[in-house]
Amino acid sequence: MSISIITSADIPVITRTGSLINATDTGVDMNFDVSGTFSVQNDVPPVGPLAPIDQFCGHASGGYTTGGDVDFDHIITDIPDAAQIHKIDLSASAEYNIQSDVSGDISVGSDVFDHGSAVVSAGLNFLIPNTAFTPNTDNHVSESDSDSTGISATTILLSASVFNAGLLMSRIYDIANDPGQYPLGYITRAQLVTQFTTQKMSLTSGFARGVVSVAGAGANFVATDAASLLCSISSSLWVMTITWELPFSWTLDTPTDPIQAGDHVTASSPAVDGIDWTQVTGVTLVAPDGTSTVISFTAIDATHFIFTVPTLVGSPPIVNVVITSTQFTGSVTLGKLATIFFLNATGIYTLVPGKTNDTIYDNDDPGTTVDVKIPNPFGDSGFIGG
Amino acid sequence: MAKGAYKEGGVLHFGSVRFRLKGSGVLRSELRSLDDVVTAALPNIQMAAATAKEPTILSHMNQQRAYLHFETTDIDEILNISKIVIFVRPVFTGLPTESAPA
Repeated sequence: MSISIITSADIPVITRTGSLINATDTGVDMNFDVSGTFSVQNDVPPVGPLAPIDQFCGHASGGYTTGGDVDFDHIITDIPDAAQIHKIDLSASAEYNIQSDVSGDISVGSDVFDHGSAVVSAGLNFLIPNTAFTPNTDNHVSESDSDSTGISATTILLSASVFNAGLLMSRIYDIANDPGQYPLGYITRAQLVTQFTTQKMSLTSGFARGVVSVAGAGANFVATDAASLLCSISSSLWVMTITWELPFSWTLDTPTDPIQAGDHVTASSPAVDGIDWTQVTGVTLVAPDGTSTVISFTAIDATHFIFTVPTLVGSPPIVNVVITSTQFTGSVTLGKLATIFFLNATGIYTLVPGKTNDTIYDNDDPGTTVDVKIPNPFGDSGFIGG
Repeated sequence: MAKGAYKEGGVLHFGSVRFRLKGSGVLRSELRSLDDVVTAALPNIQMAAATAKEPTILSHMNQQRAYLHFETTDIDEILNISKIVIFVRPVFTGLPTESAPA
């Protein structure tokens, strides 16, 4: 007889592996605004063929770094001290907003000013300035978007053109598959606190550029004001997903071997955060053929409950302890009850034509039968002699 | 010694047993005296589902009275005996008290 715990949960998303409980905790969205305004002035030839006004916002390469504090407290307080953290997944979305502001006079000859455009493309990067904790999966841009819109203009004023680029970013610390400096394949909650809560989350633009160009065949363009781009970068929907496992076990205190109907079996659990009998909703005896019987149990204290082995009939049962929880789901094998003795196992002796043996219940393998010989069939003659 | 004549209380020599026997497995048999004090195991007979033979197995036991015991001892053995012939011959007319056999 073995016992396992089956759990289910509503929130958050939880999975289970082996004898451990996986739990994934997702933090609240953390607004993390990073904005900046960058303007560049270009000297524009006063006469002659129009030179493109090639403005950029940010850096074409090398990036710049800015950032702010990210609050992980909400996440971390939900993780038990005994948790083994296997994976940390950071993700966020960001948006670049580029506003062009280019104005000037066109000295119109026979030429026509016919086009203006602005393009933005960008990449973002996370930066955790603690180099001792190196992610093994670098950031990536899972989605990018750029906008390029021509500005048809016959006027001499080009302004207030807004272009956006949206980005989704993620960075994964997959400690289980690439343990690096953590050979156990996980970090503890304390290490998580050390690595993350004392550091600032930063946002680095690896490539953020806005361009405004004005081109016209033969046009003469004279800038009356400084051409400029107004760039802002905002990010939101910061999510930190932590996958952790919590060593979780119940132990069966088997009273005697063999177990008999009426015996009291105690299941106990070590005092682990959030693990107690209140998460046990039932004890189920499950036979090898899949049939199950729910039996009642009684709580002793927070980490002990007791149930009584019922009269067993037929196949040997496997006891499942069904648990529900708001923290985890899955099942855990509790342990194994020793030999169950079929105290009241009975049967009816049935004559079967052609049968050459007796079939009886096997006490060494409860629930099964075994064929044994008929005890020495014999015959005796009468006495010879007088 | 009175050969061929048997009187009550006389001693018999149990010389052989013949079976009409079918089955499977091994038939084990023996002759047993009164109160099973003396026994004489007989040769085992390997049984067959069909046989044209009625095997005769030899024995040697002198007793006033004896009976034949037969059995199988293993699982799934089957025996079907339709005839048993026990061959005996009077050898003594009686047993003096002092020399009564064990």
